Amino acid sequence: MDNDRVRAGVVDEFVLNRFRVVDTPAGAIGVVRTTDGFYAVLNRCPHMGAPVCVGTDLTTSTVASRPFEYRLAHEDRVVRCPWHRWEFRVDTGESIGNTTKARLLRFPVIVEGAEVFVQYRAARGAAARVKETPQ
Amino acid sequence: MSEALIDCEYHVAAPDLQLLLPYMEKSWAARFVRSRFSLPLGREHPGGGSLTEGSSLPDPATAGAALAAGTRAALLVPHQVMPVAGWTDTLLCSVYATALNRYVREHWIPADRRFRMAIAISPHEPELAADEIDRYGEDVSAAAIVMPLLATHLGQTHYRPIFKAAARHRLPVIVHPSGREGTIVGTPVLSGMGPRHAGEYHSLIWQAAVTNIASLVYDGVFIDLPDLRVVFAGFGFEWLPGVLWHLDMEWRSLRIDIPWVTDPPSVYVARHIRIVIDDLGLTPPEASRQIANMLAEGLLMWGSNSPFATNSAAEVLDAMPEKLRAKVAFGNAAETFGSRLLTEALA
Repeated sequence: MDNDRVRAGVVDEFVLNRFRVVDTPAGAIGVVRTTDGFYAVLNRCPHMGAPVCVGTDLTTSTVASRPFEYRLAHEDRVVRCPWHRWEFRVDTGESIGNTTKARLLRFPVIVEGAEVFVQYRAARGAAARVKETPQ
Repeated sequence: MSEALIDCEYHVAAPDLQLLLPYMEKSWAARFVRSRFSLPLGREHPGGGSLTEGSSLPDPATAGAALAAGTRAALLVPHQVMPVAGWTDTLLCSVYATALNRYVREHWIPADRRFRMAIAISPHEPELAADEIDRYGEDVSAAAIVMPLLATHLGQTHYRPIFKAAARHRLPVIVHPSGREGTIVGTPVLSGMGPRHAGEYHSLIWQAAVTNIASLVYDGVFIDLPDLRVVFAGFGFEWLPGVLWHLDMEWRSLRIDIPWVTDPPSVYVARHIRIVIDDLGLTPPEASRQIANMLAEGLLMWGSNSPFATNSAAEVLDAMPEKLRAKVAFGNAAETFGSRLLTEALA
C-alpha cells in the first residue's frame, strides 16, 4: 500500500460534480469528477473550518457586471461552503470575486484504470498547513 | 493663528415668507399666499434643537463675523427645505426649494466671501431637482447639494436624475434629517415606525443613515457614478465601524447576488461617503477618538450646526485623534467639496 495516497473509489461511482469525501492522514478530502477531470480539496473551509465539500454539488457563480445585470460564470467549478456561502474555484482553490486571500487546500488526483486515488501528502494552496497524523 | 476650519454645516433660514415670494413665478407666489402657506420656522432645527427664547436667527450682514475663528469657508445649509420630506404637494416642494436657493444666493452669498451654498432640493421630483442643480452647475458659489431623505432608499432608481446631475457637476450630495423620519408616511422608517418621544427619535435617527449607506453601496450607485460623493450630516458617526464590519462580512457571503460590488463595502464608503460631525452627543471624547481611529482617514468632516451648535469646533476636534484633527477640521472637506469651496473668484 502506497503511504502517499488513499483510494477514493472507482470512476463510475463518482456522480458528476458531486464530492465523495474520504478520510486520509491529512484529514478529510473531497474528491470530485468534473467534465475536465478529477479535483480534490481539503474538506475544510479556510474561513471557519466548515466541511466545505458537503454543502452542495459543484455549482456556478457570478462575475463583475453593471449594477442589476447578472453574468453567470465559473460554471460547475464553484465550491460553496454550507456555513457562510464563501465560494472557491475547485481547480485553483481561489476565492470567487476575490473576497478573501484564503484558498482551499488542493491535492493531486491519480486515476489508474478505473481506480481513483488522492495524493494527500502533496497539498497545494496558500494555506499549506496540513495536519498529518502519524502512521 | 487659528486652526484652519471648513464649516460643512452652517444653517441659514429665511425669516419670513415675504422674502421668498419674489423668487417664484407670480402665479405660484399667489398660490403660497392663497393657501396661507406656513413657512417652516427657521429658528427650529428639523433634526432637533431650536434657538433659545429671545435669540434671533443669524443675519447675513453679521453672520460672517460670527463664524468660528479660523473658518476659511462655510457651507450654507438651508434647513427649511428638510420638512418637504413629509409634504404631499411635490410640485410645490420644488418651487419652494428653488425660492430658498435664490434667497440664499442673493441675500447670503454676497455677504461674505467665505459663504458657499448647498443647493436645496426636494427629492420628491428628481427631474425638477436635477434642473435646479443644473441651474447652479457652473456657479462657483454652489459647492454642494442638500436634501432630506424619503422612505425610498438612495440606491433605488428614483434618485438617479439627482445623482447624475450631482456627478455631472461634481457636487457632493448632503443628506440631513428632516425631523419627519419615523412619524410621517413616505419618510424613512425608524425601528418600530413611530417613536413617540423626541429622545427616541434622536437615538434612532442613525438607522436612516445606515439603511441608505447600505443601499448606495449594494445597489451599485458608485459603480454607475464614480464621481459621486454622498455626505451624511446630522446622523452622528459612532455607529459606523460596526456597520462597516457587518457590511463587509455579508458581502463575502452574498457577493453572488451583488457581483457589481467588486470591493468590500467599506472601500466604497471610504471613497464615496463622508460624515459630518456636528455634535458629539454624550459620547466621551476618548471613545470618540477610538471610534474615529477605526474609520478611514478621509471620512469625517466638521460642521458647526450653527446656530444650533451644542459643541464648539474645539470640543469636536479635541475628541478626534491627533492624526485626524487637521483632516476633520479642514482637509477632508477641501478634498470632498473641491476647489469651489476655497476659490476667491466669486461672481
